[in-house]
Amino acid sequence: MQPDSARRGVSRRLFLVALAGLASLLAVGTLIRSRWIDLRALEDGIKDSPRLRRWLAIDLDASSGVGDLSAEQIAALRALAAVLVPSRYAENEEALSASSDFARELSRDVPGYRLEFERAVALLDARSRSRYGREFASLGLNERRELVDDVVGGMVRSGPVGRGLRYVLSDGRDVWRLFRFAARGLMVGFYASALGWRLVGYPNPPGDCVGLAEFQQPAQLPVGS
Amino acid sequence: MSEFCIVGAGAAGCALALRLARRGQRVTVIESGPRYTEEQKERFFLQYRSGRDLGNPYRLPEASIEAYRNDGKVNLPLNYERSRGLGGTTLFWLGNTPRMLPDDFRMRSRFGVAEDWPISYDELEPYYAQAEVEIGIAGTDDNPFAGHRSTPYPMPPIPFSLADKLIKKATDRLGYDLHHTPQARNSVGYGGRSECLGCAFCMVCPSGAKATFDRTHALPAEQTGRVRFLTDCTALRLELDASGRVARVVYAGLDRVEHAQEADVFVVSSGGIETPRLLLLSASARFPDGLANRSGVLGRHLMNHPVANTTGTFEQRLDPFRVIFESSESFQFYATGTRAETAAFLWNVNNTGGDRPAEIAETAGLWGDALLSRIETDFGHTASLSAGVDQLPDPRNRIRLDPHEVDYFGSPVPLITYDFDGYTQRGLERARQVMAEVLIEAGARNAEGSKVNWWPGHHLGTVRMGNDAARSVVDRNLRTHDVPNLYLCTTGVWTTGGCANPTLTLTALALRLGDHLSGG
Repeated sequence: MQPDSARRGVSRRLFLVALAGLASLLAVGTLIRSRWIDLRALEDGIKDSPRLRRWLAIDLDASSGVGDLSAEQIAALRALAAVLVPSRYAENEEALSASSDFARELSRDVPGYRLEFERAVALLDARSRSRYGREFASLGLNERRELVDDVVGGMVRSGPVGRGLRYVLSDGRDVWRLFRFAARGLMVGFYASALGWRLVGYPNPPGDCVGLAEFQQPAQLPVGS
Repeated sequence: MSEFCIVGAGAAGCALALRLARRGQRVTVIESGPRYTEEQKERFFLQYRSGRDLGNPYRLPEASIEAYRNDGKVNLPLNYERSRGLGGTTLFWLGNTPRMLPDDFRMRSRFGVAEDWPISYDELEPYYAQAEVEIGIAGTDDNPFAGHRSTPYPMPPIPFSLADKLIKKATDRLGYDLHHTPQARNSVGYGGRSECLGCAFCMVCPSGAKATFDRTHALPAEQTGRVRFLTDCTALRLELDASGRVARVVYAGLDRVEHAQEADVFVVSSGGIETPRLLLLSASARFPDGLANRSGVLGRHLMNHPVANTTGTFEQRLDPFRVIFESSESFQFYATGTRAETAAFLWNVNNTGGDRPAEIAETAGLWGDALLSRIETDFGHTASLSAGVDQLPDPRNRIRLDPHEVDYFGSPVPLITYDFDGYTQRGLERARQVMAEVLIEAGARNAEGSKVNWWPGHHLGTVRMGNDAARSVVDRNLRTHDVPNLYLCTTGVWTTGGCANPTLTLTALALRLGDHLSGG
């Protein structure tokens, strides 16, 4: 017979296991019901679970190191950026450079990012060859939009049957990584640039050091200009 | 003339070194981190500007030098809020520099809780004034709750932001006071440094307008020819001579080779975590529980200022992120008469409400035109208020040596046990109520309070000051009760926490100590 303290310990562990299971069911249920996966909520939900973190590969693989991307990889990332930025900037050099320059910086400076960009390009090229018979960077803009929507849209748009969940929870880890690291990196590069800030009405992006007068007044540009 | 050795080149160490040097003393300062170059700082700034989330960029390549572990209910994220290097955490700080209130020094006498400091506001006031001049503080005397001032601020205040002006109208209607934040940021050219240019990434100020102690104090200290800084040198232990005085500090560089620095007087100014840790690492037959720990309180009474946010969504744009520092604050609920029951709090308006466009892009799960549409809708309509809350000393909150994990040098890492009690919890709840009231009065559609969402690097109380050697580690002059030539100058000497950001008070204490040690 176990001492009381041991039995209490077993009961407590069972309770905690049951509680964790219930929380997981609720989380999955929420994701299935919602039309869109809330990526922040999903990531917040799994950040404290080492097993899920490993399984979903939520962290960069720092051991893969840093390095330069090839010209072909940069071209593919610019082709992807053209899909991710607002449509009227799809062929805008400033916009595409902001995205690809940021990708280049991350690859050089942050261990693990180079691998993620390489993986993203490889995945898009594989899907592109399968569907169109040629590499992603050589596709027309509409073809690229269709492909990205097919590849990534399946993950982030979740219908009642949890189509997106199937991506994330079954064979979608590569897509997850593509969106989490490569696509986000390209979008952050664009929206942190001077052009991105102009879109929200700021004539000068933070970091331009224009003095203290500006922050006392409303921004000067119409939003979306 | 005595030889002084200071361990730690943060705000306290740099200010003390300069004061001693100006009094003709010779000083060696041992600093665990590097001397960051202007080129390194510029690179950090450009990375922030390009969209990188660097967190705290002032981290050591050998991460295990900074290792620590938590085993309490609250995990303190130490390394986001402290930095090793010449200038210490001021390299990264935001620069808010309010004075503490006179009542903070007499919590037992005034409110019947905790203990009184062995010094008063009035004793420290001249040093507050000197510290404000040395650091360069922009402010104005518009805080009706502040203690008396013997001198004006050396610079006019940083003006109110767009969000401040909106909130100010609401606080005026509610009868609450909102005033300018005193801050270590030049509103005009000062000390050979530029006025603030609003560069928006204050963690690495490119204009030099934000005071960092490597510039404001370490550089002029070196220029006296009487101070030398040994950077990338980590103190491992203090060793005593036969008479019970500290004879030397043993330190090592990245090659792990041990060296010793001797001096007549030693001052440990390594922050509220590493200072007690170094004394614990210096245990000996004479002090088996840690150097200068006959009282048994070394490492205990760890306090912080738990921070909660409340956000509100507005119809109009508030255009945040053009600066990230805080330009207004309120002492209304800090200078309160209810501190016997409920923690006081100091609240402020953030100039960083909501998410940046790039942050929305990271989390929205959208791209292309749909993402832009979301950003146009969401960005810039959020106001955010924050409150830092007082905490009373509790001996259960403490720093110990970790029995399992060691650092780069083989020394046990600090093990932190930390939580807060109902006193602070009530203060947090009251803060959320007040901030929600203000936001709604200002026109917010809603007001949503967070849990404690931030633990600033205000590590207080771990080597507390007191007159009673059985209940404190240092006396009113910051000398340890147990070792006659050992002084501690760190936020760890706080007897009670108050709500004010601690660096100005720490600098004032360092200047006072400098005068004491040099007979000035």
